[in-house]
Amino acid sequence: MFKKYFKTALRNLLRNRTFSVINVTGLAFALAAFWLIMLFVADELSYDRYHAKSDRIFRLVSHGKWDGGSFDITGTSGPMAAALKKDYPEIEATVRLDPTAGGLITYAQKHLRADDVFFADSNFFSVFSFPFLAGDPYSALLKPQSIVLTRKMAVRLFGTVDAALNKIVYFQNKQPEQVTGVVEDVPENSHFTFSAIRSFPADFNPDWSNFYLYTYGVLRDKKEGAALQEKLPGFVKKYLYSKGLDIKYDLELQPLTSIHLHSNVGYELGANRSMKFIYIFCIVALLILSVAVINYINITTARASVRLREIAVRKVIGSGRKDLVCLFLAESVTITIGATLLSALLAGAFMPVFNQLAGKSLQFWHFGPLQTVAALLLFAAVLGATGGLYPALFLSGFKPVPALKNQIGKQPLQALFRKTLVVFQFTITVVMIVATLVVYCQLRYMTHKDLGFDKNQVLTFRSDDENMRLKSKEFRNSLLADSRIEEVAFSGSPIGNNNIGMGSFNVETEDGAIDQNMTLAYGLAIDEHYIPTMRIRLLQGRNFNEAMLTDSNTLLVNAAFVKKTGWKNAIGKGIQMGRDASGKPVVKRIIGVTSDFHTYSLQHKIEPLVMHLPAGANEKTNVYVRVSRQDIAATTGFIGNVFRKFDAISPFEYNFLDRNFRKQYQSEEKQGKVLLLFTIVTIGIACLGLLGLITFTTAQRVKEIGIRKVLGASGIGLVRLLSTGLLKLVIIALVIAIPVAWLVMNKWLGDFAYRVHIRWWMFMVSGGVAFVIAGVTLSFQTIKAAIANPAKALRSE
Amino acid sequence: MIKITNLEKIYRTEEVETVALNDLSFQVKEGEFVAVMGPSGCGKSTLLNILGLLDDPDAGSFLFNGVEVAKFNERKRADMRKKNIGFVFQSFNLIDELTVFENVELPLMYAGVKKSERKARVDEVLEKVQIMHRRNHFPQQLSGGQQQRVAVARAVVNKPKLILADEPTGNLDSSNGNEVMQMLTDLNEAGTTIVMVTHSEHDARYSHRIIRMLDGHTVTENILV
Ligand SMILES: Nc1ncnc2c1ncn2[C@@H]1O[C@H](COP(=O)(O)OP(=O)(O)OP(=O)(O)O)[C@@H](O)[C@H]1O
Ligand SMILES: [Mg+2]
Repeated sequence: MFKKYFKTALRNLLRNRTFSVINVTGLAFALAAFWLIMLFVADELSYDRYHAKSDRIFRLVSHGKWDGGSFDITGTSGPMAAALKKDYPEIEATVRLDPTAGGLITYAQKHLRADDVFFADSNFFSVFSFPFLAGDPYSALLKPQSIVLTRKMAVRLFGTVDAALNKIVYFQNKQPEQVTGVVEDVPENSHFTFSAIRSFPADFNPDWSNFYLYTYGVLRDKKEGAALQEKLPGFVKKYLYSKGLDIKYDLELQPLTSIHLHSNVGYELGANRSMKFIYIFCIVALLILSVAVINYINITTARASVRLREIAVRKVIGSGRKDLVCLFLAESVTITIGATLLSALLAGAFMPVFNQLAGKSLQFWHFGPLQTVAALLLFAAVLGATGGLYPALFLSGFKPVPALKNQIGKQPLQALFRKTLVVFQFTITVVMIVATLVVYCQLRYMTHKDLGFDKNQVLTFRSDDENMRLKSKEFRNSLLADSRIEEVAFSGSPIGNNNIGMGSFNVETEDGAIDQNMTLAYGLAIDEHYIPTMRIRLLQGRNFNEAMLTDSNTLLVNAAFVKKTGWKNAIGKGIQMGRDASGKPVVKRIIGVTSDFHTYSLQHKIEPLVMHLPAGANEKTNVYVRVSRQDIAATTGFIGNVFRKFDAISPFEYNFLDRNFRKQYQSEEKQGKVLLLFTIVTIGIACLGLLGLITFTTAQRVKEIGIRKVLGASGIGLVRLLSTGLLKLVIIALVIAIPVAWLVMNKWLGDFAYRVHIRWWMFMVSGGVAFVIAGVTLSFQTIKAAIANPAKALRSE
Repeated sequence: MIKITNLEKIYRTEEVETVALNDLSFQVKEGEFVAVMGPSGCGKSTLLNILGLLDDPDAGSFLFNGVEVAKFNERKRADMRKKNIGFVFQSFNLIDELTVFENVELPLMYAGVKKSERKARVDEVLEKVQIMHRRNHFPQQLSGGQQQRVAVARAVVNKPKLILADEPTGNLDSSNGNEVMQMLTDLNEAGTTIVMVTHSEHDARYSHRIIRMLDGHTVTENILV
């Protein structure tokens, strides 16, 4: 019996090819998109779960608050780890990571720069699970000056994993470290990654007031987390307030597995994502799938007229409603299984593109071939049964007598239902088009917005060698000897790729006194060439002049700083910058005000900024070189040669400043591209469905059209007759979609400090696209129907 | 076998009410062959649909084998129908997607007959209506007469006690028509009760008794035998 249903179903589907092709392709594309998104989501949810103790590991983060300022950072102070373990028996272990361990690694003649290196406590590898290829997890970091490399790092330095063990490498050319282990590379689904872990130096002794270490811990029982969080204020009181900390300070316990999707504080170790993004992705997946399922429902019920007689005859000769429902369900399940098989091929084919867009390395068979096939088939069956249920009940419900005469009867409810579904599809389509437009406009805005300085044609690199920093003047002159080099400048912090450090200052008020309240501002060390090199506008006063020795006691501030303090005239105002050796406060005077410029991406507001001359050569760590437009490759070659004359060891690794800034938008760019891809898929599927629907509703009206023509209706009149209904639906969809899209996209834009506004033309474009889609799809069938020979249509009865 | 009393059927549309059957009463005994005649629109098809349990009357009683079925629900009617009644239509009503064999097999499947037995029974009736050589063809590949023979085969394959035929020869030429009438006669002689609607006096002469209808009730009954 079962086989029989499927045989009949298959034959029905083969006979009605248009119908089947539309349904199968639409569903297949939707399912392919669905699989891809599900794999993506599964990967996002799998972050950090590979550690054996993942459900018991937590991270501590800091929240500080005081009058006029606050911070939320990953940084914790060094002694916390030991104190926590001592005070709270529910903590099995604590481990600290220090992110300042990176730099130049040297083995024999090989020099590599590695920034993703951490110092860590010796129990690092018993808290986190990284499989050892050589060495022993428990003893590898016991001695100072030990280093554990990842496979990739070991191969880069030594050629093979085996060759690495017990070798000595040097950091910054002077600190020897012995390789005590090699671990597998860190999986991609980790919230932090490293190429090496070093043991802490023997003299490592951080104090309570310095919040820059990462502290992790392991609970004995994962259920203890909430209770422990309750006890932390007591901990802060005991160890921090007692030591004179005078801000409101809280420690937060973050479960390891929630960091990637839920944590968003300063100094995160990797690009976390937000759970919001995962929800959006899931919703998009469901929407695409529903568009395809709606196609099936709509086309199948619209086709009822064609199948009416078959249904009636089956009933007359004894078929119960149950048999008919089974038959129709068999048809829909057959279709979804066909679509599922096709979707697996499609998903496989699109996987590389999708991976590239989303920045992942997902694999279709991630869950194993057998599980995947079983899951796919099960899903297909469930989808077929649910998607097919309504059409099956609808079709099997016809009364046999009128059906025998091919009288479908008036189906006002059914027609309304179908229209609602079409409106729903169009609404989804329009919202997705608006969303894509907004994302693209925002991306364009971010990559083209004036940052307050000229980011183009600027090459930037680090100078690691102390000798080179000391000879910065000579280095600069050697570069400027070439006419293609326009300017060279040095600064303390790199801009464009991270937060530059914040400090708090006491500033002079209008009446000349020093304000006891702190003013929070970024601080940046720049030399006298920085302002001209970056083409930052000076609004007032003058630039630094290193020839004037007194300029080491002067400052530049940006316009935001002046605005915050409320000064009428900033020039000459003093800012207290710490205390000198004798304990006397050091007050520096402002000599100039620059216009505001971005030091980080547009997600961040421009904050008050204080600029001072580098205190010594060691603050000249970043070099900025403005080059002319011609022959950039040769110019960078030249810069490299000069660099090597001053520093023969460090590799010359440079970046273009505009690209550094652009990299901050990578995740938005990926979102944009992925969204575009799925919007196109959705539009395609909606078009297919519409085409199918129109094909069958027009077929239903063939006779009517024939009669109208015989009576003298014009082609245009018929096209209008057949189109108005659908166009009305598109308008309704627009009316619904506009506010929805506006709400959703404003929410998305809320994450950006600098953003585009949603404009009317975006809705017009989306509406236009929807109309064009509907129009083109309609024209296929209506024009065909309108120009067909009426005699033929009438004879077919 | 059939006893209807004071049967009434009214079609209501928005503007008009059509009384299709009006206070109609008659009986059909087991083994009878009855022809129903009358002008177009007098309610013959309506009557047949009610007799075949495809439709229910608005008033009156319908005893089928002594059971009151006038108020049966859809499921019970379907069940009764598939066990007892076979249909033959003027426009054949074969399912285009199924082969000759499968069309005939369908009632047996719905009745839950085992596969091996189904094959034997279908082959047997196809043999009887001389369409065996076309068993794997689809309906459109057959002539009208052949299609009606398949429809008859399908109506009888489940050995129904009653066959209802609505103008079975209406779409056929006279020789094909005679063939179908002969088949019905043979079936009747083998014990099946037949009620047939027809416009043709010639065909009516194959029956035992003619019920003549006008405006929804019987006017005369001619006993032919
Ligand atoms: N579904 C319906 N809705 C409304 N009126 C109907 C319907 N079906 C039949 N009628 C009306 O009921 C009356 C009887 O119709 P019926 O089909 O039984 O006639 P008939 O005797 O079979 O005619 P013919 O010989 O033309 O087939 C007619 O007046 C017809 O218009
Ligand atoms: Mg009739």
